[in-house]
Amino acid sequence: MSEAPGSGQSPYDRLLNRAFADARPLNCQIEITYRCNHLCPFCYNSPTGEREMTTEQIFDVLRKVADFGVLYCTLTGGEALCHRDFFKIAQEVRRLGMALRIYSNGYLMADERVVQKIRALSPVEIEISIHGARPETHEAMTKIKGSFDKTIKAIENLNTAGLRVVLKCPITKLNQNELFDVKALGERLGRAVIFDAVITPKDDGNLDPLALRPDDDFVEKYWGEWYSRLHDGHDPPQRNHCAADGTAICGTGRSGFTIDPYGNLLPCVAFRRKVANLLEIDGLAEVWTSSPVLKTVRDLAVEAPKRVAEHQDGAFFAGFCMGLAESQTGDPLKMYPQAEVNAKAVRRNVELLQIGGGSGKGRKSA
Amino acid sequence: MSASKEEYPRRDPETASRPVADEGYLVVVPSRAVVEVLNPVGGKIYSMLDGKHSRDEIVRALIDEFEVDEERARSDLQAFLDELSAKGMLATTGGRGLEAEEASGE
Repeated sequence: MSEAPGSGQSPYDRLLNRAFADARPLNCQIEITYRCNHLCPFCYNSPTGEREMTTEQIFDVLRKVADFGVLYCTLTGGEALCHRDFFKIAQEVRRLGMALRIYSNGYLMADERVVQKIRALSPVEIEISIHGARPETHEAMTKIKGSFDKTIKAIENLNTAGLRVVLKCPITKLNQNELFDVKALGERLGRAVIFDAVITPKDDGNLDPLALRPDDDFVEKYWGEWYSRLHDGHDPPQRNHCAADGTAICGTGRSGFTIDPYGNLLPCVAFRRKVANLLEIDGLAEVWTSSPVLKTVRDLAVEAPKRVAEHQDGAFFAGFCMGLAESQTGDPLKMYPQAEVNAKAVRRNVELLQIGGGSGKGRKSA
Repeated sequence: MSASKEEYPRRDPETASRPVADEGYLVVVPSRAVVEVLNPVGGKIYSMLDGKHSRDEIVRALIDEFEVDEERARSDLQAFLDELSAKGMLATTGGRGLEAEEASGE
């Protein structure tokens, strides 16, 4: 069914690399609403007060996305299930022939009937956010009493339904000392946990969420032996997996894109330069190839590895994000405080532990 | 007009697929949470497994596009369908063909 390539790349990687080289996005993330049933203080969402897309408008946007050849469509928010027509929207994703992913806090999936409806959609994957191994820690973040038990119940329901679940744990100073317990919890639930070491400002530039970022002492430990223990023996990644050959810092505006609740097309979830509004154009093909915003973003992404490498520790932090750089420094190519702290810690630990060129990527399947 | 499922094979509607340039196809199989990679020939066949194209039509398309003889096209098609079936990527019920759908007004 698949040929063995002569280059040593897997057939899957070969196709991904070809799509990347051609700047043909396979991934789309749609923030269908900013409404949410949690009150997480580190959330990056910044509602503008504009009217969010109607369900029919979302259908129109989905059609344009599907016509453009996107394979994976992720529904997120806010909290995606807080959209009153979430299931109609998800069904439309499937009807248009795209693979469905769902990002959620899981709260509403504590109801088995909700999970059964999700199961009927045949999603590829559901990503659930978890903020601690204990109710007190998790709910210190969500600000919703009882949300921890709901999230655990949701994961159990999804497991019973035979659905693929990934747990995501943003690391903050509130849970930084509980990560091994979170991993153990994930193991008890039979699910891998992805730890995210970067807390971002709000999309409007408000820096308040950064007050929750983990301590520098923790960062030092995390990028050392803790990383390998928390990630099943994997070393910290040396390159962004979207462009493992180092040609670009990441896949922003190339391998995927994000759409906000107002229909705005963005290069990615973090780099929020507006490309166009999908409600005002007939399709994606022309804007994707001719947009000056996207050309600039792609050029920046190619320039970024060189500029970051000029920093003494820059080459050691694969998670450099131009969107975060721009929101914090005004320059998408400048090392921002979190990048500096993380890069320095990775470098010290790479040198101390003599880590080789591990990819840090543990999952191969969809 | 009756049409057996074997005459008008259909891919599992739960899968999602897209071509990548002329390199091949990516097929997401949610039931197994995997991505299958098809070469250009497999991708061509897969794109025609919509329940509206007959085996004969698919064979003709392979002959035209890939310049193979009929015997080779038929054997490749059968082998490919067997592989898809083994991987749960074929629908358990076939299509009705385009003419049958038009006759029924669907």
